[in-house]
Amino acid sequence: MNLKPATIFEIVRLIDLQPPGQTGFCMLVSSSAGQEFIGDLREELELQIARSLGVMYVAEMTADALVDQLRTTEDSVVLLHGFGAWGDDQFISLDVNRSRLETGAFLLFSVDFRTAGRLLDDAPNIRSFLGPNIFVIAPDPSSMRPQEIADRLNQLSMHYSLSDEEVLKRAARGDLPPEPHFAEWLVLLGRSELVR
Amino acid sequence: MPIQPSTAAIPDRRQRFRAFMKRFNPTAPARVAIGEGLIYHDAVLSVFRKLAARADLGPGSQQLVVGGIGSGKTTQLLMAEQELVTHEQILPVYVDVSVETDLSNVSSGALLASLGLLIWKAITAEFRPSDALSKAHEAIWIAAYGEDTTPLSDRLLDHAAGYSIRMTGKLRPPFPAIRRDVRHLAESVSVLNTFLRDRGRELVAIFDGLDRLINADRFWSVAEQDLRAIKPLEISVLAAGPLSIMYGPGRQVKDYFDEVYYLGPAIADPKVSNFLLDTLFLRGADELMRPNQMRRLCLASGGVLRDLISLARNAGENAYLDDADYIEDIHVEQAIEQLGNSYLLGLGTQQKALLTRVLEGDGFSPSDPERLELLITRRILEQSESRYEVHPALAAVLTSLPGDLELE
Repeated sequence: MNLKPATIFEIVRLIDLQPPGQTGFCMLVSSSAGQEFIGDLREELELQIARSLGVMYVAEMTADALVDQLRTTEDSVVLLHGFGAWGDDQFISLDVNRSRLETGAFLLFSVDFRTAGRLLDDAPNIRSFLGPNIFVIAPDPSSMRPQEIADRLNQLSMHYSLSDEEVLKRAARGDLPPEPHFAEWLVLLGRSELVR
Repeated sequence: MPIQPSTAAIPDRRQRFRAFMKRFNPTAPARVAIGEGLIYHDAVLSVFRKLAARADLGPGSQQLVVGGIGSGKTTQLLMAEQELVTHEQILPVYVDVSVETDLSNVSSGALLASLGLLIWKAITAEFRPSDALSKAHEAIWIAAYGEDTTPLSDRLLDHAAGYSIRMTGKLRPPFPAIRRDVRHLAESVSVLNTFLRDRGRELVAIFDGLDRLINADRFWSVAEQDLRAIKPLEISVLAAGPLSIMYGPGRQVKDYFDEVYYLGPAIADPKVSNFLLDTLFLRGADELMRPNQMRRLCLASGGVLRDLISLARNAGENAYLDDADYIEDIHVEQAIEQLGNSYLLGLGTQQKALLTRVLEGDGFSPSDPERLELLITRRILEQSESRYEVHPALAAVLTSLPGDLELE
């Protein structure tokens, strides 16, 4: 599967493209929405387009509570994460109430790969609004020092017990698992065209 | 043929792309799109006019618009509303049920309560209501939002003298009786309706949002009691329903309605029908893309209107991120691939294998819940009652998947 990789810088450019007041839907697939990612996104939003980021951790929420909280938030960009803990019924409940998500904010659904599939399957109405706007979060090598890139590549190599060459070979054959880490790996190697 | 830059001053690139995004926003409310003239009229001509004509000529008729997600049901209902507004004696009342209440917990009576509150709003905008009307409104309000009631134990004491047990009869009615609370609610709505009828105004209730209940049983469990209670009031009803009503057990629900209009995917091939291409032109797609790219998007959309809008928008986003001034072929292909991947995500091995067999020429019939799900989630599109195809964007990514799917 060839989900499009996008850096935080590009995601913010897309958010900026959304006419003000219109609700936006976007899905970000990554291994986790860690504090570092949230911090980077917040910083980029403020620097690039002077907008604030609302963050909602939804794991303990019902779909109804999520909608209620969204309707009272004043942030024009909201990152929703923690869906991995949700059951099918919660996704279905959110789906039938899709109209109530239309608050004029830009909504970023941050999910891991497995949860992305469950959300899209259980929530076809939300899928229809997301359309092709599903991205794998990728690092931006141009903003990283060579040592940072090397360290991260080493980390990935240790974690998966694979070398860069093996990853490149498997990517060329199209048989890398659809795990966001491999997209990151290829981007760091400067071979984002092989992301599968 | 390259796009020729206009001789007029080229506005700021960001503003140009932003304006494009505004016209191609798949999440924009249909009412806004209609107001901004972004709906291609010829395509919707027949259905919304038929809906409005039947509601006008047959008071008390109940009509349903069904179709897949993103097929334009809301647009049809809103355009029917616009058409009905031009008739002086008709008062259309549009109820977006999904906005009025939490649809995942909705139960019988919710349609009537929402309708009653909106009729009241319409009445008070024009008239000074009498006490009788206010009383009816109060009953509707309580049904909608509840009230503090006497504790059960007190009520039991109050009614203990007249307590009785109902013995079930041998003959079950063919339709379940209308529940008492729903009947009472309908009586209150009837008071408001009679007031308007006496002043020469006929109500048409337009219920939108129920199509989100994609399971036909769930849809009917919410709608049945209310629709049957509304019928004798001679209020015409237009409603949106899910695609599942057209198949399997859903067909029994279909039979209830006086008329059911089915919105299938549009003809995707611009050589056969200009509808999708004209929709793109109407929204000004040609400002950023060439006609051959537009034709490519039409085909890849499979005729699903919202997918067409999403594809055009995404092609624009890809061009913007690439710092291109216009959409190039690569941006169109990326958009199609991204849409295909969004349909691919979540599919299990067996589903992929089934879709691959359909691509290879096997027949398809939504004969079981698993197959029906592929249709409802738009991975399979119905081209006619007996012809189905894999969504073209999904087909493109499926055929590029490596290896034997069964071994995945």
